[in-house]
Amino acid sequence: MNFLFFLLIISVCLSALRFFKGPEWPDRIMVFDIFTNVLIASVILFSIRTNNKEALGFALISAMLAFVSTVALVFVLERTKKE
Amino acid sequence: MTWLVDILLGLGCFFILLASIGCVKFPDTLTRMAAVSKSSSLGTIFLCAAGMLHFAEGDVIFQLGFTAIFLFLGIPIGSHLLGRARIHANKGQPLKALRNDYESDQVLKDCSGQNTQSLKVPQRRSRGPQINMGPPPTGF
Repeated sequence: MNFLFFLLIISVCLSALRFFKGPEWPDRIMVFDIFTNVLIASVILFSIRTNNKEALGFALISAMLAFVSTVALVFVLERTKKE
Repeated sequence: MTWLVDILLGLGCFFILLASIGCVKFPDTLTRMAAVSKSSSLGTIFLCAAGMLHFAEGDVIFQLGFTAIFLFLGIPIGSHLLGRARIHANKGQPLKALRNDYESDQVLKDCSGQNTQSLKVPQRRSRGPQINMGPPPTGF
């Protein structure tokens, strides 16, 4: 089980590399998808490891917030490119 | 049943790792976006299935099922919006697509008000590394 947390930490580090290196702004917004997926994955791993099912509401809320934040950032991007 | 949960957890984390590797290694914004959106949502859906199998109660199945449904509905819409924003502002690092239909459609839209009888329609299936058709023809 600890090995899976290690895999998630490696994936966060790689996507943070793309976040700092990404030449365009869509590359940087795209990385938030991986971040929210890692967040949901770590919540589910934590709840399975400790047999605690009350932490699972956080996964549902963050899955909604991922969509809303991506759409809001894309609208901000399109507004700023026009001017 | 615990071995099935372990296999699903391993597959989920492995697919998220593959998504981040594709995010680093691919050369273009659109290919990176394809890797990220598909692979990471598949990994998270595997993890949701593992959580459902481990707890096996109605409440947990409801919550994790709605998590999977929201991810499955949200991530394609978000990646489509991102790709549209990237193609509209086509500057900076060039796209490495074999054919760019957006540019040829823009050329056709620019010529739409004029006499299109004697106008050369640009070929949409060229095999070059990048379509570069120059400025749209004017003054017919």
